[in-house]
Amino acid sequence: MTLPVQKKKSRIRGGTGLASGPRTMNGVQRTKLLSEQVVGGAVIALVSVIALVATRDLESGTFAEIGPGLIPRILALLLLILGVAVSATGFLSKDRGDDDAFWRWSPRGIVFILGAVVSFGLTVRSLGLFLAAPLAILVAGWASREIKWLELMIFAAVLTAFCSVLFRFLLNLPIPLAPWLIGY
Amino acid sequence: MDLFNNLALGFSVALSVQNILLCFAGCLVGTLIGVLPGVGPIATIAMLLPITYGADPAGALIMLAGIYYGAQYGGSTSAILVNIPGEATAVVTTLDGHQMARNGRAGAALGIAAIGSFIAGTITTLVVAAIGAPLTKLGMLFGAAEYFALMVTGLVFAVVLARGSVLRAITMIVLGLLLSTVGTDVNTGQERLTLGIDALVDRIDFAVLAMGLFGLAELLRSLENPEARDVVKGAIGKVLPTAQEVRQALKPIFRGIGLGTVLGALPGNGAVLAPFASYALEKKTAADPSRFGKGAIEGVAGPEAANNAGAQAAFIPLLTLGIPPNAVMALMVGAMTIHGIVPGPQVMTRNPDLFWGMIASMWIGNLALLIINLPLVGLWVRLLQVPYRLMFPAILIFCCIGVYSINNQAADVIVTAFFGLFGYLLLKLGFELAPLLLGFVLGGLLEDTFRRAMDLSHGSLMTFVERPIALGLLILALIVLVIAVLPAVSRKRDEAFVE
Repeated sequence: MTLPVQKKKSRIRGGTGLASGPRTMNGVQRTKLLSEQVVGGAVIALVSVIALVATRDLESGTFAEIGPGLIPRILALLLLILGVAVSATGFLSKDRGDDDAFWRWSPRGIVFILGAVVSFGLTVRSLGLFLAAPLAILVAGWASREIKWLELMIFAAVLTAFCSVLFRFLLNLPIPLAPWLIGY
Repeated sequence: MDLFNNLALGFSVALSVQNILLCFAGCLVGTLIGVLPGVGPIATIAMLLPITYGADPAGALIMLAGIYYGAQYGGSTSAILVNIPGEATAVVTTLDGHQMARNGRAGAALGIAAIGSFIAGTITTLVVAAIGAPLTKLGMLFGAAEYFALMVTGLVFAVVLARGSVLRAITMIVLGLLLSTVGTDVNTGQERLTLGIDALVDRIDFAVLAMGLFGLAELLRSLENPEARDVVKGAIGKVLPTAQEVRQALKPIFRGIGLGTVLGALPGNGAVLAPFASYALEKKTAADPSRFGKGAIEGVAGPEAANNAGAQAAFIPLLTLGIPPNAVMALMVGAMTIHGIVPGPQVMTRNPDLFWGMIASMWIGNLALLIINLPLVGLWVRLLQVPYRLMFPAILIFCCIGVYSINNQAADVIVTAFFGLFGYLLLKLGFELAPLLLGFVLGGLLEDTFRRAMDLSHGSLMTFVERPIALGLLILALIVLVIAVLPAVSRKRDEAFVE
């Protein structure tokens, strides 16, 4: 039972490319420059800069007459300081945190899970639940390596029927079922 | 005497046939979703929010509270049976609960968890009812400046009591506050931070954010690790614990309730701490501490009672002051807003049936849990054996339908996908997502009270210093924050969570 699990784990870590490369070359340096905290702080700082740029046309006003831009700008500046502080502590600290988890990405999950959600968002209005739900389920199924096609297709059909009855008929939510066939 | 009149009013609301059914249905579906490994109460509530839309406000909130208790209990069930905690507070239950399950006492572990939770629920319902009215009167005295200060204090407590780095938790709160400003500004009608995206003009819906962060991002994280579920096979054993086990568990249950009630009622997120504190206390006071970690029933009973007491006491700041102390309560605020109720001290006077009905339904919810769960344990076990490759498409489709149904907006679904990705990135970078959601929900309230305070003081920041209650609260926040980052204390704090 344990053998296949371990196999899969190694495949995932190898598959990212990032996991093994820099570590074997120069473990110490990568830790210093690219630890979880340093990157984390940088991402936060980037978000705050985007927010600062996006609020540049909004008036700040004064405390007596607060304009629309004042609060977002104060928060963005605060966030910038915090982001820099997180990065800085990452540089200074010896604690590398859970670096392994940081480098273990699941590209397959990102593509198919988010792809399934986006496909549902794009099709639910036009195709209705009857088609949008099985489509999303089938796309999502790809995210797992253990995918079994026949099983997944039967499951998609059953789940779609269940959701249609539950949400449309029992809970009366106005979610379109099959606008192209029955008009709602 | 007021207390009993009020409770009588509450029970007259909660005991209508419709509301009893809603409460039971909420507990049932809450457990059903919450028992899925990796799906915590926040994701469960966000996912099930749409099913409450059809009910009237009181019914909807009663059902939501039922979903909440169900999700909590479901989390304990998966902690005991599969060793995967649905959320932070169930971590402790995995220690001894899963060991009991491996010793063939899964039934007794689940049973004592349910019984402990029920006793905790009964006592805490009375506490909430007793404290509710006086605290609400206090809340009525608060002006904008005091509210602002109270929320800041609450956020500081939430940071200090959470696990992990204080700095990173503050960062997540500020990020949540910033996200709450996205969309049309209520006061001036101008668009802020929408980046030209139409779907953001109406502000980000809290359920969209919650589902992205706690539904999709968690899903992505669990897909990283190939399935390593350790479902307990074989006999569950009798659900009812033996008389001796009950005797052993009784004192830990009451100690747990005490800890949970006090910690849970704090304006910060004290409820999270309660099970950890209870476990540490039981281990310290036990005659034979070495039994812990090997299936000691006290290690399940105490933390579970503390967990439930804390979960329920967390309603105190929400119902009386309108301030959610944690992310789950933040979702409750969102749900109340959807039904046109602005949380705050005025709820008790303006909607007394709703206020007391909800408190009474807490007790009914706990009773429902006991009635539903003990006979259905076998069903949950079978559900846990469904392979993950089928479970996650089902979770995903519930998320999608849930998000779409909030406003019947297809664009919301796509925004959710974005937050799923963003949340996953933050998780990978070592940030906790619960403070972000808390900051997001309090953001609107904070900005509003800050602006009103400024209007009243004609733009003088001194108002926060001149008003004694506001000043006192802000000083308290400052002291707590400073103490928490002192090296000696922060080491202690880490130890408390490791325990």
